[in-house]
Amino acid sequence: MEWLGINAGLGLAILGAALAVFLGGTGSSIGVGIAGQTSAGIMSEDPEKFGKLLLLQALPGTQGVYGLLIGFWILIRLTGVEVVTVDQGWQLLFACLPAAVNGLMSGIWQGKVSAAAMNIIVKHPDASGKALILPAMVETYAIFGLLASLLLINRVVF
Amino acid sequence: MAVARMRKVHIIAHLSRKAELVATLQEWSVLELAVAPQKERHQKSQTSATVVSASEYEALQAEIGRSLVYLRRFDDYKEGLIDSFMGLKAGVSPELDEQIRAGFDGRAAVRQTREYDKRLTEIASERRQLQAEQSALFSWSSLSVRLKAELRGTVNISFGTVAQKDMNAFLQRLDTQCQGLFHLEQVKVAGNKVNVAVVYHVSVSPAVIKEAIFTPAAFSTGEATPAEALSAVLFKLQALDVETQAITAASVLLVRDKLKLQVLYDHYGSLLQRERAESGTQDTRQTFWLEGWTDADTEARLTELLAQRFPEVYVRFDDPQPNEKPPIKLKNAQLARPFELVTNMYGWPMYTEVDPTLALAPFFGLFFALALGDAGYGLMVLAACWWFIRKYKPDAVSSKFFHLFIISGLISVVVGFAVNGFFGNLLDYVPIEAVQQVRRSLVVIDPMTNPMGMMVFSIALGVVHILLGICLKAYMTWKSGDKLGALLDQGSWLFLLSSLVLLAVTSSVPGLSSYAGLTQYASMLGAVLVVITQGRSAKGILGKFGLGLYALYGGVGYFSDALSYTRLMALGMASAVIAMVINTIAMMMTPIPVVGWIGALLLLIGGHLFNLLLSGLGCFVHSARLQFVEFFTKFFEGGGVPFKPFRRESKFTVIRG
Repeated sequence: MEWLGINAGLGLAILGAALAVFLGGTGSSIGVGIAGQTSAGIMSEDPEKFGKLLLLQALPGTQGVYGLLIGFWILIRLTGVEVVTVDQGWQLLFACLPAAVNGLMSGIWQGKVSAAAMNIIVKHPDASGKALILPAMVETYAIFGLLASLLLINRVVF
Repeated sequence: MAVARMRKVHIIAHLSRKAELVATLQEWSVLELAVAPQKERHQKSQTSATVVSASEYEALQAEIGRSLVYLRRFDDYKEGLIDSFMGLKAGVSPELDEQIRAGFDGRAAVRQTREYDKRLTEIASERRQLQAEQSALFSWSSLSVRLKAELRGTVNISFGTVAQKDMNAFLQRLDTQCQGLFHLEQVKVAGNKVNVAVVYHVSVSPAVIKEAIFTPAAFSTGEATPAEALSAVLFKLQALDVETQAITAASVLLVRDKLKLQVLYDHYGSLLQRERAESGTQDTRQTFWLEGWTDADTEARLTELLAQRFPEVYVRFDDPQPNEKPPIKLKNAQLARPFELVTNMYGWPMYTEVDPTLALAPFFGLFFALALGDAGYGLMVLAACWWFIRKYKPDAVSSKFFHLFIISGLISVVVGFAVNGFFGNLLDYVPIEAVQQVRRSLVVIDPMTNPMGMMVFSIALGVVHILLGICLKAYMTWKSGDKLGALLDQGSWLFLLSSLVLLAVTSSVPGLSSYAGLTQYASMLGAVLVVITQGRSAKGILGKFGLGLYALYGGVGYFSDALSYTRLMALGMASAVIAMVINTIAMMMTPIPVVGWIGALLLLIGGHLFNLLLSGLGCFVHSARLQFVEFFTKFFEGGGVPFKPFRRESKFTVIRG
């Protein structure tokens, strides 16, 4: 690992944190973007639906938060650690991947489901509660990714 | 925990009492009308009269609706986010309602707005036309010829546009066609186009001039010069502006009548409902027969009310027949009632089913609290609910929503301290030992230092939740008469699952390891029981065995269900870590001179508010999901139709005494 320099372990750990933030954020950006486009379309006809649409648009935003959280979790774990070995670096990097990749994919798909669920709000305003649940089904896997990453990072021994 | 017992109501009375009876029932709001099937309905003599007045109300209502839409353009009061979310209605006292209906000339207001609306539309189209004329004239305004008057009978004049690059070709062509008998005036060069006026002898046909490369100008100025025509157009536009302003000012004044129009709108709506209700009865020449549903608790009151007000009316109450599907009314203790919202998000129970509200209520509150995991946020939820109820005075249905969050918020406060969360780790920054001692003494599990413990607790809570679901299914099966089914189907699973839970406990807790063997055998017995009992619907020994094995394999579902509850721990940690990050950053700001503490405070307020909103949404949605996907699937089907008593349905106003 000499090509990575002396402090390669720390670099790998930061790469993991960065991946979680960036992939989670990307998933959420795309998801919130898709949902936002649909809600803008609906609001051009019926601006009063703003409140409910905003909730649905916000739902795919959590992946970005989970990614950020893993980033900070790494930061918190590394506080006070003098030297991160290359082994520990790899461990932290891999531990970040569940939250990162799950966040990316589930963010995008949750956005699509959110956008579709907005149709429910248009056609059956009384069923808005149900419309909130469908995107949450997708989010489950982002949460599991977050959970796995949190526990895995916790298991890395310094 | 129940679906209210429903009674079918039959009311038979003389036709002359129909209108009054229907109006009174609407006021009482205790009866859902069952509209008689079309084919059974008796042919009525006054059908056409009813239909006419019904459609009249509809038309009136639609007119008022249009007026209200028009007036909204001039209304300063814009519906806020919260209003649109809650669908709040204006409260009106019965006296005011009466007064408006008697004293306010709705038709005049409607006529006025319709005229204004029509005129504004006309003005808009006139304006468009004038603007088009304006832009056409503008490029000719330097030409000082009176376009029509200057012609003396020997020459014609044509106006048009020629592309710059075609100018030479055009001139050449003119020269040959007119044999020199023309004059060309370049009026204005705009971009690569040239506006030209061509004066030519009458012997030349205008068609020759209007050849392909020459585009005739699209305006007519009459006797004036283009500049004069232009100022006339501008004058007209100005006049339109003045008129628009006058109409706007008058419309703004009309906005004051908004509430009155809304009252009328709802009034006609309720009259329309009555008419429809009246046409839904079965009539003979002298009498009518009205059918409806009410809950058993209301029966005595309805009987009494009817006896007082309509002593001559025949009333009868029946239990629902097996082939009938009564509407569903939920009946729960006051504390559980707000959680009906969660049940209704999924649907309504069938008449024969158990109402899951009471069973889900404590779990929903607990799940919400665990997923939020913060006493400070719980307090914020409480404060927000208190403020909303004070400010908006919501009706019974909306206040359910707030009560749901008040209960969940209270639980969050308790649970929050137990999981060491108060705006994240904000209490850690308090340098008072007593505070720290109290904080530490309240902590049961701190997910930050003991995430595994929190995870196990989440799963354990889930297992209890799932087992309760199976018990409820057993109860329902037992109650429906299939006692053997309840014992064999749910009983075998309950035995297997609880043995497995005990096995997990005994093999992981050191003090209980001596029982591990026993629980192991119990689990095996449970598995055998499931295989034996679950295949009994299949034919043949092999078939029964195969189906039983398959059912045992389906038990994997219970494990994934139980694991699904780990989300509680993950969500709780998510909100806690973000709160912690907000605190850390805020504390990093404090050393900055002067603005440091202000900035930190602003960041704390904004950050925690943001975190609460985002986490709160997730907590609510995922707590609901755990009910619907993991809990309801064990016993609940739903598909009932909610009880909708016949009452004044309104769009804008609520009559409050």
